[in-house]
Amino acid sequence: MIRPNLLLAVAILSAVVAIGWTNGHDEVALSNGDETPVDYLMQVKPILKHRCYACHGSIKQEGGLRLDTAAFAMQGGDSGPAIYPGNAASSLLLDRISSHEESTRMPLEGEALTNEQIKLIRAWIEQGGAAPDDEEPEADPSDHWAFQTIRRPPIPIEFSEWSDNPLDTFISAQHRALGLTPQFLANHGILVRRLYLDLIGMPPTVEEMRQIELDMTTNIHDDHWYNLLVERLLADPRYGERWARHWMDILRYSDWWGLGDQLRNSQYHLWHWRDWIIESLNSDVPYDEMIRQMLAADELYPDQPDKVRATGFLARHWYLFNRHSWLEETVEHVNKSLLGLTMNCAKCHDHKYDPFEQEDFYRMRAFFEPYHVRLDMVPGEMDLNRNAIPRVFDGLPDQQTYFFIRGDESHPNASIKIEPGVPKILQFKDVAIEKVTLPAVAWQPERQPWVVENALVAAQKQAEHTQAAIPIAERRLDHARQMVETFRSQMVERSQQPEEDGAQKFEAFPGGRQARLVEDFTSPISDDWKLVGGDWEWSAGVLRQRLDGPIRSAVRLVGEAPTDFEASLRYTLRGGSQWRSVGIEFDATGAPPESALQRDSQLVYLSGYAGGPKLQAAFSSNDVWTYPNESQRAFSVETDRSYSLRIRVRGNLINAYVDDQLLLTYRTPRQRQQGYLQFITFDAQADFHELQVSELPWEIMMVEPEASLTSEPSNLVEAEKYFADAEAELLVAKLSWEAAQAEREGIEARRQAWQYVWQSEDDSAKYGVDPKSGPVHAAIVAAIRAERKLALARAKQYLAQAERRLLSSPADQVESVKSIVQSARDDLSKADSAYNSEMDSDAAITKFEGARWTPTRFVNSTADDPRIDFRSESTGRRRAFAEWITDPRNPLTARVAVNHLWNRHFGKPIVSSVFDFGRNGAKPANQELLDWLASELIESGWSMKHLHRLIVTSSTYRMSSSNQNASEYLEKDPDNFYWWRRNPIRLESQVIRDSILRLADQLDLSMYGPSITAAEQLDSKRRSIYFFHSNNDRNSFLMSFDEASVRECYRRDESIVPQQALAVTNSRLVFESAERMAGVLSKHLKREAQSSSTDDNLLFVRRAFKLVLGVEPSRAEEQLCQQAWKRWQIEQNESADRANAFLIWSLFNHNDFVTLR
Amino acid sequence: MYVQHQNFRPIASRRRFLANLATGCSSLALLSMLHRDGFTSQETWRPPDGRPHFPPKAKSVIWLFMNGGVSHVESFDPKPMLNKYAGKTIAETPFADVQDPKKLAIERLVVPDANGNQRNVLYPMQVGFQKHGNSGIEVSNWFPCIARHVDKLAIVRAMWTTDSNHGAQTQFHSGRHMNDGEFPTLGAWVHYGLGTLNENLPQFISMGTREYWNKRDGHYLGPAHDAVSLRIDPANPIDFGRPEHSMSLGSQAVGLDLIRELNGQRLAEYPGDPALDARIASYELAFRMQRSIPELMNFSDETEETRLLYGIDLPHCREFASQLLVARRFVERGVRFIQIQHGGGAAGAWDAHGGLKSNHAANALAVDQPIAGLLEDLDRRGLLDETIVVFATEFGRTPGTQGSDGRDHHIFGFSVWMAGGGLRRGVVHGATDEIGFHAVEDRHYVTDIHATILHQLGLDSRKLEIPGRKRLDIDHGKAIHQIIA
Repeated sequence: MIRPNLLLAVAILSAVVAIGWTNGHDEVALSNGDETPVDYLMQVKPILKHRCYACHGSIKQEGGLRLDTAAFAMQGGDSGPAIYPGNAASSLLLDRISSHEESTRMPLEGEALTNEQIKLIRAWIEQGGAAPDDEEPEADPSDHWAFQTIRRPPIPIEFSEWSDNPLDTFISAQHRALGLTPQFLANHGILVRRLYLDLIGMPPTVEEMRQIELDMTTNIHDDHWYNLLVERLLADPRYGERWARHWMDILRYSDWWGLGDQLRNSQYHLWHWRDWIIESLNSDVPYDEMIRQMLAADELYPDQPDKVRATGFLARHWYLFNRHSWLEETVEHVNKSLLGLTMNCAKCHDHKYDPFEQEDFYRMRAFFEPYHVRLDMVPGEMDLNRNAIPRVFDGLPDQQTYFFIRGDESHPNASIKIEPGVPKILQFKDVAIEKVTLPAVAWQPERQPWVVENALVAAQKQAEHTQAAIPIAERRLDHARQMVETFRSQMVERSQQPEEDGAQKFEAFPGGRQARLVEDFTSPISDDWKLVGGDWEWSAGVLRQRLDGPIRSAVRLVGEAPTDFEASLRYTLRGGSQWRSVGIEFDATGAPPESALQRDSQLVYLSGYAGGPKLQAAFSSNDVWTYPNESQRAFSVETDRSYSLRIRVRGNLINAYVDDQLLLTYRTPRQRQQGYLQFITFDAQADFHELQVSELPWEIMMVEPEASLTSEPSNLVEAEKYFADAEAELLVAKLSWEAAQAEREGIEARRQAWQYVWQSEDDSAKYGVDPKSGPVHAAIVAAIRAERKLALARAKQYLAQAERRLLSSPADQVESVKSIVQSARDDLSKADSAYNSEMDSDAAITKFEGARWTPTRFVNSTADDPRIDFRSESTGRRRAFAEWITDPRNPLTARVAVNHLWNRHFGKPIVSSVFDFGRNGAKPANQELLDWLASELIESGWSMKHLHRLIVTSSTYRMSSSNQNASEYLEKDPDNFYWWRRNPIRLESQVIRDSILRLADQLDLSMYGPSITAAEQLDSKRRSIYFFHSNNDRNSFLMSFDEASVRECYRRDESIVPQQALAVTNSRLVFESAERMAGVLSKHLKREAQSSSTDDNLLFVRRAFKLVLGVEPSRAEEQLCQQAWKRWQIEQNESADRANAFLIWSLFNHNDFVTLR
Repeated sequence: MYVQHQNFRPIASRRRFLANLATGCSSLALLSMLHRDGFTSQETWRPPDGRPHFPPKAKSVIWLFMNGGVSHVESFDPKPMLNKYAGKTIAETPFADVQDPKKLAIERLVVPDANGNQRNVLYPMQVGFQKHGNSGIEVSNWFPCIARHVDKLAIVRAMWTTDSNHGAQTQFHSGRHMNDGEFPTLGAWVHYGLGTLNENLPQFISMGTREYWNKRDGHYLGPAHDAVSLRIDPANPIDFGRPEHSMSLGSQAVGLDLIRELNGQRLAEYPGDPALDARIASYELAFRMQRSIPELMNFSDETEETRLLYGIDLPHCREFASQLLVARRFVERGVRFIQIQHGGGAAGAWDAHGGLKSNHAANALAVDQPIAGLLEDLDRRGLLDETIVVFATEFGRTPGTQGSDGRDHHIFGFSVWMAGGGLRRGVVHGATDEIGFHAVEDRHYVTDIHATILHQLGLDSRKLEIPGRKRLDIDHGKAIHQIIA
């Protein structure tokens, strides 16, 4: 006997001597009386398997002990036998599982076994520890089926009409073994609908149906029409869209999202990757090549932007705040989607089921450790926030990967050196990593020809823009001159007319001369406007912004706003949690188009903030907002009251009126620029009643800040002031134009210089030429001179602007404006002397920006991390990884892919744990079939279309999903585990929406481009794949039908919930489509009517059934429809057209419309 | 039996049963899909059948969440030492050891931030406390109405969590921080585990501002277990809750009849098809939902006294009061889980980094009377015994000052209270140290609140686990038996 106080000490040592040990520290009922025989296989083994095998089984044998057979348990480990049959009390196993000491209790991780479980094990030992003689030990992990090389299995020999496709023979071999008979082939109507929805994601239209019927009648061989149709659909560009959505699920596509407007996840413009997927599928790019491009196109095809788009796959994992989360998700999902491995389980400890060490997780991570994300400029768009290609590059080639103790990022183990590598069991070849030397355009993206081109185009536009301001200023000067003259002549006349009332009424524009855009919301908002952000609801006469909270939303003018303009807004403030701001914003740029918050802009708004309601003019530069005191006027703003806000903007001068009262005159210091004009709300719920925008006629008098608010010059002194200002304005306009020209010339000169520099860099790399040779130097000097000239022109412009301001500054501001003038003058003299000074030999010229690193905030959440530069070399790690994944010897890649394909064709995979092919995953329902398909994929050159063709032409695919007359098989295989019939599939959300629009002849089939924002979705007729898909924006119709989760979606859910019924019965989308489809169908039937004798009504029912559900109605169904049709017309007094629409609406609500039979 | 259905016919197969269950707002989702694929045929796993694992004490949960982080030392955990040592750095007080790095090690600095820094200078309590009720529990003067019900509350004063940024909002709901990925929230687990009590209404409802954290709940349990979002707007309380078109009710009824009959016709070709049954039933439920939800939003059948009790007449608490009154009406009709978030703004209204006094005073004013009204109303209707009301927030606020008049995020100790549903009444459980820094006595991680609620509902979260989705021990939490009656 060991004394109790020694127990602890002994227990801490892992090698305990079990002999003579009695279990003195557990209260679990002892064996006496517990004589119910325990079944080892049924009752004990599952407990051991679940809780013990991970450390004492085939993967690991901690303490030399295995517990995966009773014999092993008796044999024991380093501490001797784990069980003594018949003597539970002396059995070490029982002692350890029932210990109360955490340090010794087994299992070490997780909860203790329950008393129930301990009792069972005790009883089993007491009863003699019986186990089958032939008990097999747990299989060696290296024997696991999915880790074996794929070998093409022989095709089972079978003579059958049913199985004329090799794929079918694998299925029918199982049928024969189990005594199952496959269901009959589905009828033609069902088959056509199945093919259309499966291959292109929408049903056939009337015309397409007619073509098929023609094929059916003209082709004698029964299957020929079918094969024709398969080929036609596989060649249809809609195929790429349909299957891209599947792959986007699996590869976890997501548009960017964050908190409000802050980018936190994924990337702007990720749709470029989506477009690449669609294009690749349509042109049947081999699957292995797709993987290579997604993982490493920047290393494999560094100078081909079209292919580099593929790396959006990795750019999607970008995460603003935490590098470890980012890379951990990368490892997790690359493994789950492409390899079917749950490598993420090995982040904190060795994998419990698969032979992966914890270090394997970090070796895998090391492949990705250097990569970062950037946006590359595209031709035609200079602003990377509006369009650019998100892609990856190796920015951190020297970053060490650390092993985290227990997966905790705050505990890196610096003593273990982690190198990129793959788990031993999958190391069918050495993963050789070679560095990649990148071509210049890849790491100096400014060398792409369109980069300078874009800059030139923008400069040209700016030049035109500034030039156009000159004649306007000239006209104004003329006007001022005339006015001065008039007053002078009036003075001569000395007329003593009484003064007019000083109160200014808001003057109307001269009747109809100027183009004016008026939106009064009597009908849904027109194409002139775009709703951005917010939650907008239209009803006649009102556009309502309903979203509460400090978020911005906007009604944006589509197209260019006039430079000098008048804009007005009439609205009623309804609520808002705090700021309640509504205003007019202009010159807004710098964020992606779907964002209501722009980085650079000018804004005039009314705020209903309780702490100080006001009218304010404000501006932002690079996201930093300035709210000058001098552009602020206190103004009481109440909820449920209507306001009219009107602004006039000419050059830098802003006049703002509230309820036709001039409240604010302000000269904004911010440079005007081209950008959006929009009416915004911030943290405000508001009803918009009317918007107007028009060009500001030059003759409209603007009021200067310093002028008294009665503006029109009323005497000679004022008129002369006005004249002086007009003169100054003209000077500013001319100097602005000069500066714009200098800018254009500067860009030209820089282009020249850079081309020399790049050329000489290339030459020096090749021939060792001195990069600073004569002509290069001369070009650099010219460029620097041009840049200095630009600086000089700008300085002149700023000085003129400041002096103009001084002209009309009120007395209390004169001093401060004077100091601004002085500093502008100083800047000018500096610019002047710089322009005239000698060039120093190593002066640098400004770079063009061809790409921008997407900054992260790992160090501090309020400031960007230090910039990561583009390098001329890439580590080649991802290329090596991609080559390893796509090597035909990789046992997982092809198997996982064909399983996904099979699942998406049949609604049921061969291996049901689609992302886990490991030992804890499901066994394949038919491994021969899986392996045969996998080798077909590889041997066909990884052609997915080949696989689709094989699958959809098989009898297995063409079977009916009916279970009629099949009670015998329902009994044998109720879950259709062996495919004796087809499984019905609840259609994906996108397919449902697309189909409804398609049948109504409403679907806009245009392809590609930026994702459609939530605000635009309501009225958009584009395919659903183009809808913004992120955690920020969700489409409620798509959501109700199990929309793909943004985080991961290896399989779609197929729920049946009442929200779906509400979405289909109540949505405008469905009802309007039903109306349209009824109209289209009636028209067709009328055209056919001459040749047909059937009752119109019946014909309508039949055709509607065929189109919506793919089947002919039964007699009973026809009658039901006709009865309803009558009830609508007679009881409900509806027109025949409306009744037709209601019938279509009912069919859209049919279970079999949302089901692929 | 919790699941009853009028059209319940003899069960042909287990799948049929699942499908029928599905119409009770559960779903034929991934789980049954896995099951049907035979993935689990070698395992003992079964999807839940909608029945509790052991006899429940409570039926429903009203989960009130204060977005932004309520200061525990100005709400339910008074700390006189803060006043005594106000203005001193922690190091200058007898409590210097609270900043022992070892004690601070639970904090996970996911994002090094302007937040989550040490706030060293103690800030006095910005409000007084008084004892209330027979229990004599102290409650701050900002919550005078809740204080009157203090004998109904079980206050847990020793909560802790690990992440000091607002991702902790997600953490409080799912047990895991956003960076760990996304996991089902408590409401989704309850919905998944218990099916339905009422066939006319969705069983898991969300109201209020939910900007900061992800708007989904079901995650790997599937979107069918997401909360259904409701707006306090009788005209438009739910997405697609009313027709957006011109079909008259009569014509709709004809159409719905036709849909049901046509679906029924398909049974000839697909006898026993569970999806057809489920689809037919889901339409019936939808129709009933469409009728009953707007009715629930209309308070005209409530007495004037009841409306005043919640404070619906007061502009500063009208919105929250309406949500709470709706919640009671849902509970009355057997809805399982109602989740109400209070306070918008970037990171939540209660996020008082500055101006704590005015911020908390105003926020408390907006929630105090409605919550008190809810407790009173539930109690007098006999519903409090079977309903758990939870008052939660993502973390507390630092004993030290941030800036001149704010408090920063504080994860080491904070308060949450629960009431009703078979919990003890008028008790305080656990304690923070003398300056409210660390939870020191009976400490509880956020999932202990989950475990307590599940326990009262008769659920064992380990039995709800699904294959391939291993949950950690900390995800399950431990029920707080000391506050269970």
